[in-house]
Amino acid sequence: MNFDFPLILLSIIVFTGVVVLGDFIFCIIHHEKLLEIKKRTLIIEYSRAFFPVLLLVFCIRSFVAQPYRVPTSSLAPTVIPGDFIFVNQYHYGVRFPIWNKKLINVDEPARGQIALFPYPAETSMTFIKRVIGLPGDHISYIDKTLYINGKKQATKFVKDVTRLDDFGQLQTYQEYQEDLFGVKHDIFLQANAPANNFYNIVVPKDEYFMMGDNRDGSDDSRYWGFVHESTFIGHALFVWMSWNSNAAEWYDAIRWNRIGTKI
Amino acid sequence: MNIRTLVCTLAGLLAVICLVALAPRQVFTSKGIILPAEHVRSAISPHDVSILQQAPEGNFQSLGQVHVELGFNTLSTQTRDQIFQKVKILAASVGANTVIINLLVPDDGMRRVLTFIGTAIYIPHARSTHP
Repeated sequence: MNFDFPLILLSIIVFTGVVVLGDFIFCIIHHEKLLEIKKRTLIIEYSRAFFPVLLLVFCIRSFVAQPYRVPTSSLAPTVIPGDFIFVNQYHYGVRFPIWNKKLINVDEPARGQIALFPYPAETSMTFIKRVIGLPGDHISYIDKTLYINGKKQATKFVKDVTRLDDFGQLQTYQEYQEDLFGVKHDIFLQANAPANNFYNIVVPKDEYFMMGDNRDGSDDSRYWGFVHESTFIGHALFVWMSWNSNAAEWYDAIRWNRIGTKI
Repeated sequence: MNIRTLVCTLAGLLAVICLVALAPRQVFTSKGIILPAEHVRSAISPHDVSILQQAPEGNFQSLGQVHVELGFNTLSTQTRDQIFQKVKILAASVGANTVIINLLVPDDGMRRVLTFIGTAIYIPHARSTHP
């Protein structure tokens, strides 16, 4: 059983909701006014106070938008460790959390979008990657260049960048701008990393091929396969906060220039 | 505690117990992909695929890289069998009759995942030897 935050939140909502409902039934039986201000026991008083607030929080988190923290550099340079991103929860359909049942169809993942989904091999973790391949696409990756349906996705060198990687080691990356059928975004490559070529992967029906922008440092569809359409959580919109945990002083930790960055 | 509070609290607890009981349990299934080489062969049966610790002597054709990951609560031979089954299915899809293990490691850190990386090859006249 997966005791994750949504389940804990929903459990508190169910408990307080049932207590409030029971109290209302007692009010009706005893001909009391439902919203009358009077002394009640602590459990009923707190349930009446917290139930509507928690229900509102749950609905917003589940069906509208939710913040997430990104812990790794697999999507660097677009999203870097310490970024807090705001995610549209209904872009790929309104889903009831915990059971992940789709209630309303809205839209499908589009190429180039940055999407969140449960890590396929261990679904309690949430991954964030870029949508590269759509159902039916033929994908090749040759000498670190993507070919989708036979069309080379052009890249243009931007600059060399030296940064700490996820293991605290200094790494030099080559930053390129990739044009993914019109979606221009930056990627990181490492000259000393193997090419790991592959040819002509066919994306199955209702599945998507996902990759990180840090092409040589990303655990993505090249390792665990495709992501099913029914499992997408949401579409990443922008960075609302960015915290540099390597900063020498706490007041230098906020990366002000990243706040509001559209992704 | 008056009767109203007692009844409401018990009803609330009962509802939470029902919710937790109905919440889906995590089921681990092996997930992976074959990254095909430029030239592959027509698919064969997964039963005809064997898994080797080391590359065999003699000629063989490399048909791709097999990557499989599987989450686990407790690492067991069942976990390993499950991952090997997936490896064989993926390798068979490109006509490989053998997979050489390059990496088979459990990550017990933040992720409890068993990771397999192997090379799918075709050995002419290979005999099936299951690990």
